Amino acid sequence: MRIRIARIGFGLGLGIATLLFAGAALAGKGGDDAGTCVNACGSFGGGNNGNSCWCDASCTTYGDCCADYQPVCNNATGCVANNNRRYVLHVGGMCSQGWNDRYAAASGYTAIDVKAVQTNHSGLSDSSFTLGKYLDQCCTGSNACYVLNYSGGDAVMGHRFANSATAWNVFWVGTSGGAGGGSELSGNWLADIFGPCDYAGHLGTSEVRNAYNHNDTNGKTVYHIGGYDGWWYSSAFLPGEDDGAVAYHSAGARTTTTSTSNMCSTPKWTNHVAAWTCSGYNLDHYEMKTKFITNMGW
Amino acid sequence: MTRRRGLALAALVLAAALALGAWLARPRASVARAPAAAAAAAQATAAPPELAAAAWGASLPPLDALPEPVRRLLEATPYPPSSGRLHPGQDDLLHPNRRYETHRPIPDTLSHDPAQVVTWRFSADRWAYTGAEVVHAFLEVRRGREPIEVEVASASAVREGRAGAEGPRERLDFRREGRDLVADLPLHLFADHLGSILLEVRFEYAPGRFHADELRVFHTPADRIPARITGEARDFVREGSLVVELGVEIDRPGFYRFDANVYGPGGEPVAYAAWKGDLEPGAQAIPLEVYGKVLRDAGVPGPYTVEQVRGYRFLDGQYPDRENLHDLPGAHTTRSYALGSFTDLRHDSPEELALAGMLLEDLANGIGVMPPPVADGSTPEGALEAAAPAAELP
Repeated sequence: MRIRIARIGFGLGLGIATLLFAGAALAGKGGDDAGTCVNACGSFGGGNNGNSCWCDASCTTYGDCCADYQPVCNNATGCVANNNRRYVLHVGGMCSQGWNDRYAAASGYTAIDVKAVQTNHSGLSDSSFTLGKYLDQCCTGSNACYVLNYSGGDAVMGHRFANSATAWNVFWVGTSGGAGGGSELSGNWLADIFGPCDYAGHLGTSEVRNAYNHNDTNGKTVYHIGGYDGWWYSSAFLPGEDDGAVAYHSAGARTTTTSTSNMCSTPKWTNHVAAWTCSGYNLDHYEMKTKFITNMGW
Repeated sequence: MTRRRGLALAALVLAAALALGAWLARPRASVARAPAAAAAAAQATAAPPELAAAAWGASLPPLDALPEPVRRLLEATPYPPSSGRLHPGQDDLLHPNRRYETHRPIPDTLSHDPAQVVTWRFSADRWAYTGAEVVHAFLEVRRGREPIEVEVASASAVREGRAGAEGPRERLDFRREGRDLVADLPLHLFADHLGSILLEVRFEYAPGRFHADELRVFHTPADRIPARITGEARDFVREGSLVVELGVEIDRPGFYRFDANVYGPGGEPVAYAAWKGDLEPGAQAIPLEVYGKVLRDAGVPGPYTVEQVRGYRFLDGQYPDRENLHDLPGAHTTRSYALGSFTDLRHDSPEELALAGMLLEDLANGIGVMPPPVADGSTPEGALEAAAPAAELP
């Protein structure tokens, strides 16, 4: 019998810890503290591997593979390369290793849960590396994609765009509650309480805003939506409107962290725009996760 | 699906079919010949760039004739990813390497009376340090708006690796400057460490009441600096765009990214430019290209000053994920250029045109997607200083 710690994916790690007892046959190690196979293929998972996940060939038999085992070690993303396919890539947030939620159901498109682990200190670089495998396979040649990001997935996508020379076939990118501008909650006691995920301390405004050039989107338009149903504590820490985890300066892709209650307020990073509404939605960070999908009618 | 939405999609498909027919019936060489036409225009430096521009544009129907998803795909990004307008509001580019910490309240002091709330700000002079530099950290604590004196109970700095803090902690000595506390951390103490360094402080803000915070900086030690920007530079116009070739001396091969800002004769921000790609060891010339339409749209003729040149070697999948170079000290001033030297055409790369073709086919096949509506007040070009925020808080 193994103890499995799972946490409902709240994107920024603002989840509720629950202890679940599970047998060894459980498929994959879905807990938020699970490690990554980046730089660990063939052995024990790396990073904050609190769940003892593995990256060797036997892990599929034992059911204890790290969440990103298939894309990282086997280059298996679920996409068929260069096969005239259309995909919607879902890039989840910190402390949720995949989308683990409602996928887009767009006619003619296959939804792909990008297993880009963001739970460790190396969360951004690891997950960006993994996302690159998806983009290379799903969104090149005769394939094309839409990308939907949530929370920390915003930074992962931006990091990959800024650090690759590949012109992927991405029509556009949609982002809900984007953490590409960082969060003032990161690194303080709130992150400790809600998300004992090592990456929680790495989403500070200085770190994320200096992690990559946000103006380089590979020539793609990034559409942003944000929520303003902040939680009881958030207005004390997050400037302007917020969804309890990120303020509008981040969700609205602003070049500064100054206070704003307007998702459309400028200046923004190049090629980033607010979608649908300037006021945002009366939703909290968790509720924002699927808002882009429902807005699209997917 | 609503009836209105269904009608809109049906109209789109019809428009797509018409446009697709026209577009696909074009001479297939038109896209491929664009670079050749552009190169020819570049060789004949006396040729007006509009001639080249006309050749580039000939391969595509007018944007208005294209279905909205395709039109918006092409229209939204008028410049190549490697360059764009630089506006006074773009703090991230105008002040690269800056920090963003602000005052935050200590939770225990939260009160309906703002004058009683204690806030703190633990920050430093910048984010990244290269070589044996010194981190200048500071701690500000206020009650209401008034600075208060606090005592530092403990402070240290520690290396941070993939698994978290590692190695011994170095002492961080704060001293009082006015009512603030400052500390200098000489990075020769971390000469063996590439990556994050965590500065930790715990302070007493009221008798028996403590608060702790941490601050992360990024360090590239001297022996991990992978290349050097030499300061040599030359500039010229190619294919209707301004090219500034920067000399670099590469010690370690790999994938590099370089960024720079371009200012006008009066010091006004004009453009940014970037280059990324693989480089081999030895002397290399980095072609930073400012797309001509960027300069035309800015409306500022040269000479231009290219400065804040910075770069790093990207270590994909590794942690830390980069080795920084020293920024180029000083600036390079280009020759004078009339705005007419530059193209005024929207940029459409072959990849972008191919993607537009795929979208047209999708629309014809009934699976094309209308992009989200841009919210009022937002601008596809991004940062525009002219657009006033609708509801800015103080």
